Amino acid sequence: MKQNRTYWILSIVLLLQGINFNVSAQNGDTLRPSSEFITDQLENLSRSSDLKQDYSDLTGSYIFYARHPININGPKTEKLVQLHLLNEMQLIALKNYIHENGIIYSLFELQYISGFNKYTIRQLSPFIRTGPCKKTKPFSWKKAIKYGDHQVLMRYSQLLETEAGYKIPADSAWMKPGSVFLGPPQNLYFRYAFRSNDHLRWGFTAEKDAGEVLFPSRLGDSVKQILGKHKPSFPDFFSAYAYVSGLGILKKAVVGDYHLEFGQGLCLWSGLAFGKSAEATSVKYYGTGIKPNTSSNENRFFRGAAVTLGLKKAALTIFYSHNKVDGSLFVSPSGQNEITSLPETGNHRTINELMNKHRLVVDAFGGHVAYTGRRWKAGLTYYQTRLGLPLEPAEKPYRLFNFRGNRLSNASLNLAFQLNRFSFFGEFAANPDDGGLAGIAGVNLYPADRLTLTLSYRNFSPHYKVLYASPFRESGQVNNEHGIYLGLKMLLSGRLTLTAYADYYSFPWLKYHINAPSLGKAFLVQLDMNASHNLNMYFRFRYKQREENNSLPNGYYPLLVNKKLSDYRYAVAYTVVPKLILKTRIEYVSYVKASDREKGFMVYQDILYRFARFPLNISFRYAWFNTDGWNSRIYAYENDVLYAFSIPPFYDKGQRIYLLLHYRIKKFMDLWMKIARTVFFNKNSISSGPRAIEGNHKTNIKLQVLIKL
Amino acid sequence: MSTLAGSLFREVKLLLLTFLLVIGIPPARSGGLWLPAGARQAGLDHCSVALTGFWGVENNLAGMAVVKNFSAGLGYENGFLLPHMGTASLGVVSPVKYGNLGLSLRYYGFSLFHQMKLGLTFARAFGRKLRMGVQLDYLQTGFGDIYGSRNNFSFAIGIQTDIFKKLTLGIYVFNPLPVKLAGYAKEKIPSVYRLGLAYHFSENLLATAEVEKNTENRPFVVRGGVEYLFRKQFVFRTGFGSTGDVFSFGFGWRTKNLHFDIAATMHQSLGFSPEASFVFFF
Repeated sequence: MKQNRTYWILSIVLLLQGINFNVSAQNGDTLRPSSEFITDQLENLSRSSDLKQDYSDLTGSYIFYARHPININGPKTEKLVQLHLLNEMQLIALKNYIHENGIIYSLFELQYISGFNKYTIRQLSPFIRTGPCKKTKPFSWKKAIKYGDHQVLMRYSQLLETEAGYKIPADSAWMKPGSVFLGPPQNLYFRYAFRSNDHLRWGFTAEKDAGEVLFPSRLGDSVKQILGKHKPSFPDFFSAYAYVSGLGILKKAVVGDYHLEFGQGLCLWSGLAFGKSAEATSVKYYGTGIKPNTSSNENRFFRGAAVTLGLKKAALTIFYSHNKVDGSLFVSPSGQNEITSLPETGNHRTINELMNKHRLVVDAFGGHVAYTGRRWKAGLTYYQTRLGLPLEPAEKPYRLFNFRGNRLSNASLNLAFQLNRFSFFGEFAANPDDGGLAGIAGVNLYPADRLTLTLSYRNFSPHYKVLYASPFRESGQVNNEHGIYLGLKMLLSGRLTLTAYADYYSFPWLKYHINAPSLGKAFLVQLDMNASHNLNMYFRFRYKQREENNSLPNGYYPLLVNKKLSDYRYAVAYTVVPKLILKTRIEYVSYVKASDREKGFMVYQDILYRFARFPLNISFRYAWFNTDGWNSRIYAYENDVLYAFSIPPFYDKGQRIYLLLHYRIKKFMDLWMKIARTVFFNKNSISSGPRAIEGNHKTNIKLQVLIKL
Repeated sequence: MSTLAGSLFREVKLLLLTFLLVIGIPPARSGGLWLPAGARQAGLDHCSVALTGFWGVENNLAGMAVVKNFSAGLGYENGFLLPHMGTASLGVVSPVKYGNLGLSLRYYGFSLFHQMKLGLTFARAFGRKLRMGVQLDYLQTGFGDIYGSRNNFSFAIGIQTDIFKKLTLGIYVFNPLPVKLAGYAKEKIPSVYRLGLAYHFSENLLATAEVEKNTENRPFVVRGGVEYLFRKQFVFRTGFGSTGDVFSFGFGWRTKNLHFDIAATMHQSLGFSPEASFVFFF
């Protein structure tokens, strides 16, 4: 509570400063062209998963750099690699070119740099500037505040059908503490952000998920009594930050909520990381160090302060965080309070969920030392995590090596260096207390302009324990995995691009629903074809195989059986006229596990229309799907309101329609509206438990306003 | 706890190994006579059919047609680092009037089980775009000390054609009319079919992919590999396969008179198999 109040004061101070509004001169419609690029990029990078993911930070960076392009002759070009716009070899080639031929004055000059093709340049062009670099003026607070961008985002969304959890009055919630939603079904999101050319950023985010209580005072007395000190707060989730960078020796500093990203994510990486995706050669991580938290993930971030001090080539980061996260409590027979699991959904809709809210205090502190040479980088990380209550998950053989207790220390060494056309990277991590080890090592090879090759080896022992890490891996946890990955991207001709990966992994110890050491593999082959300037298509084949418990209880069958998933996709995009784009996709999935077989099919048609003289964009989709069940579900990326992100799974038999409108009311104000409806042909109720819906349809409505000043 | 887990892993690994060896799921038999010879090929995860060079004497015979000097090669592969699973390869190639003549010998196994293959090869180029080779094989399979050994004769054919200047297509067929191991039983020497492509990006860079069908194994294996020559004399290779040896990497050192290559292939359950080979050009 006390923490929340500090944030309110902080944000009011920040808002008052922001009232001194200034409309930036450079206010063209940079959102339109870049939003299409962002959609494509996120679809490529994201991995289909059932977890809610928030890519708003990356989206925000693209939008910011579309408005404030990076000078290609300047010192900030490394950002282009972090934004997945260039690879390391292209960056080196660019720097060499500038070194030999002087500064670049025109975009057309880029095609003479080795490794740059039309596609790269087209992708890059919205985010870069050419010509001489302006002299960097000494930093002044006045100017930074005057020329910064303010952004206010408001979003409302709601499911129109009533779910079972809302039908029971909140007053009788005490009878069913796990299945009555106490709040209204609206999802509300508010965000304010200020950004001034990387030097200065501040902002806050507030959110109320569907089913969460908006005004706690209106809750009935009986519920209040049960909840006691766990009564909901207003707003349910609140996060704020203030961030400065590039002020002399002070490289970066943040107060509030933030993320830390170092090395290859094996030891300290709290933010989002991209895993295996159709971007087969982006396996290497480019950690940015301190980063303010702008996402709406309610549990995974640091809250406190962090600072990076830099002197010449060395940098030192130290941080302290005191955060409360959700945890389910268990009182042991001896009367001791223990935490059995850490739910990460961020939902606080029912009495049970509210009781778990902010149950566990997590303190974390530590640091990172980095040294950057001309062609190499090295870093050392050490930090400790301390929990307010001990973590004691229920004892099961597959949890034999899980982290237990309330103290954890992590240390790692990360290295990256370049040799010839090889770029090596790696991180080696350990728990100094009990000797859990983990390592990841890889190489990006650029043998020719038209070929990129990635090789990566990972070995996380079952003993390794870490809470804030997210390295490249297959499973959800960061331990008990051993794997090798090979990725390739090849430009076969001007029109054809081949992308492929092969990943082989094993889990040396048991896992959930895998009662023995097990193996798995995954392949992807994708052929992209730019048939002409207005016709693009690709074919993708993806195969996944992993061992899982045999569902047959008969002891004579093998313990584990292979679960095989093959996925064939054909997608085509046709730009009829620049205003009108048609996109079609056909996808077929087959699932086999022992005698269990399922198949799934989906086809959809997108129509995107952009009015030429009227600032309105329309996206429309009609999708039809027919799968034998959940196992053969098909994920499809959807256009959404800006900063939101959805890849819903489709299963059973039905259709989905959505209409998305983006209207630019004023130069500084954008409006989005999305209405989506899924209709099932073969069932009369959807989902189960508190989320059950009577009827065969689900309709979602979303409204969003973005104000930029 | 760690020692318990460690011994458990070892036990599981041993169990798996015994299981695979006894039941004899063939892809587990790393190396052996039915996989290509040479550490270069091993570094590319056994891709061989569209490659040219000395080891054509054992792999795709047509690839041997490009050898210009008298040369000799020697290679050894150790399956999963186990003492009983070694494959030794030996070969010589000599240019003669109408093409190239080669002789190769491979031996796999140990005192209680071994396989041996002796091949006499002739290969030549027909114009710039087509190469062909044939091989006559003598095969010996020996079972322990009291069961004796069996002898068979068979043949292999290889063809390579350059579709474009930079793209080569290769076909290889071994033992297409499967010979029986013995008159009284059904067991046969397997047939091996390979079809693949190799693409030369530049003088320094080669990518290759192939499909192999071995009648002893399940449907087929897809393989791919990339070879990169840097600083004019060092080679880096890596490759993958859909089953069996799923991953490989290797290094090579090339001088005018000697090619030295080392490689390791990885089986998902059984681990690494190292391989090394020398080729001398006289």
